[in-house]
Amino acid sequence: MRCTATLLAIAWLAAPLVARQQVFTSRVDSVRLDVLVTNNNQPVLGLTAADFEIRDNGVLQQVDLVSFEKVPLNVVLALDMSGSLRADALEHVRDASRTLLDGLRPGDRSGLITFSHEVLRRVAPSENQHRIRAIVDTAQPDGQTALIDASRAAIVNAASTSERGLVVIFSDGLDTTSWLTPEMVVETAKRSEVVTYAVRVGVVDDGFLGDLTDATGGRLLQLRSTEALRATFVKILEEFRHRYLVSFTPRGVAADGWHRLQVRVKQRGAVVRTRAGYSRS
Amino acid sequence: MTRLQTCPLLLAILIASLTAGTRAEQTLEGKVLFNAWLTAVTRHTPGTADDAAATVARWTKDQLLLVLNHPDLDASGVFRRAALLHFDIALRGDARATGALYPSYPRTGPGPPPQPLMVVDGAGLGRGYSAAHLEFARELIKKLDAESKAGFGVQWYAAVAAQLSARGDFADLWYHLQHAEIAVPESAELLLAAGCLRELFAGPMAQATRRRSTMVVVGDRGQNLRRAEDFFSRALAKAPDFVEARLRRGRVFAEQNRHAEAVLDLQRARELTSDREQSYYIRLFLGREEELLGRHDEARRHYEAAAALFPRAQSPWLAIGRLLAHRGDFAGARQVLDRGLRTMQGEPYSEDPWWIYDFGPGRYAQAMLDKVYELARREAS
Repeated sequence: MRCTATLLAIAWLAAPLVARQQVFTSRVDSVRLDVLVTNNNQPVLGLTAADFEIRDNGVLQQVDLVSFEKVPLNVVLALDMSGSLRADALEHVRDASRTLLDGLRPGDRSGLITFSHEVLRRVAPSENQHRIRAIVDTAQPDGQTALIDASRAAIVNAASTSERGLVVIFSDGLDTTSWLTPEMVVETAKRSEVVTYAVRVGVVDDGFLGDLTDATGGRLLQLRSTEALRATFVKILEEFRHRYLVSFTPRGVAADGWHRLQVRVKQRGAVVRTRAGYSRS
Repeated sequence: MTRLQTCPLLLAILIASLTAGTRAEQTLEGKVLFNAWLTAVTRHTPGTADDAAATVARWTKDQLLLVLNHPDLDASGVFRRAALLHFDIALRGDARATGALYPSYPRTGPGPPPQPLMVVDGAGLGRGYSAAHLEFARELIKKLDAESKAGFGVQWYAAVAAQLSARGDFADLWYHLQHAEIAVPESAELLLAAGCLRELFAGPMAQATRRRSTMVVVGDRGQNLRRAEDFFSRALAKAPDFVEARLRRGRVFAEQNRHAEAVLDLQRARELTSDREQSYYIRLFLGREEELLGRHDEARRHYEAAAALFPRAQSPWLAIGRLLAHRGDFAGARQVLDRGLRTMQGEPYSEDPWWIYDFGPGRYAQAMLDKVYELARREAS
């Protein structure tokens, strides 16, 4: 009888603890953000943890760490090789890709996806650029455009727990044949730490690349022709290197579900670009 | 009669004598051409690019019109074989007579006909290059009696529609199906072809082109989905076990967010078919429905079943990878992509029927055409 009463008492005391919603308690649960800070379109350098303010679902957080240019990159190029790509544009794409690879540093990894109606997983991310360069120099355009499927494949390939993931997508058309929907891929992007930049040439965006890049804190750059592609790729890499890697351990917020993030810096006039939030389950 | 009165009369006699000579020449030319045409029709083996087809393929539009308007044509009775000859010429793609035979053909309503021309990824889809010979063939089908129209005529229209679908010749297909509505009785196959074309117009390929081109008459996504649903429903009213119409209507319901109806149609289609491609589509579409309902385990089972049917198809693997990424398992998603995506061109062509879904009945084009050839041979013997 006494034993039963004790057990019941323990169960009664424990019940609120079990019923209370689980919250973050461990360093393993820290969130990492790639943040670009600009002022008058120029990157703002030299910021520290004290300069950043992060709110997670409206709750102010303690910024644990801010680093700059120290973490190697994991860059995945996703290149449109559909039938609409003309010979001169193809040369520009090759030249721009080679230039971007030239801008990587020791320790950085790079991978390649090309797509027509089929997404080809050409080169998995590695420090060896030989294979990417060889494929970039020889790939030929043909077929339709699975831009949405390719974008997701690129994000999955770029997602890494150690390096900073950057996807650079190039396309001269709109998607015509993907199985996945734009919403599905944007949803995937929100759950990764990868930053996506996209360059679209010749056709006005139908919303997909804009939504995708916004969700990850990257940018969509719209060009009239591929002549400016090389300079654009260089600009993307430079801009990415000027981003801060900011981490915090969420406190005072529910562990599961979607977390809306608001990130600002204390400097007046500064514009902050980062991903819209993160998801945990 | 005064000189003033005789001059116009003399002029008229002079003109008549000159043109009579020309008319005689034309009559002779027409007769020669018509006989040459009859010979070609008789000698041509349907389904082949033989010398008979090559001969007529070299003719101009004017020469074709001379034959079409020849007074002996109606009595010839060779309409079926001739329709096949001209279709075989259209298939060759090298006919000298291109574009429409008649400037404003077909007249299915007031005003000039719309010209659906899509340029997708740099390639024109359907420029009407085979129109002249198809028009010729359709004029011949018009001359069949009611019973033949309901038999051979319907089969011919459906088989040609399937061929045009297979070639992505959507402009000619558009005209062809509009003409079918007035030329032959309604059939489940023709309704399927019309529904598939509307389904294509609702899809990203046509809608993307619509944004880029001012030459396209396609309509918006919603309009086309509703029209596709109507065509598929009418096909199913004629043939309730018509699997292709049912699985496509299921997908069209899904695209309109009518998921309960979609699942019913897809499950019914699944019960009715053992065709590998149809089963693949059904599994993909059911997987998508389960995914939208949040039943990811069920979704994965359908996607894996699709992958088992076509192991080299990438769409099921992309779908499974997305399920994993959705729960944050990017490592698992990467492994799935490694399994499902090829690394280079030049490996055996990876078969993903999803890539040819938009080509509708084109998948059965050859079988339908063979049926028509066989019908023509039986009726000739």
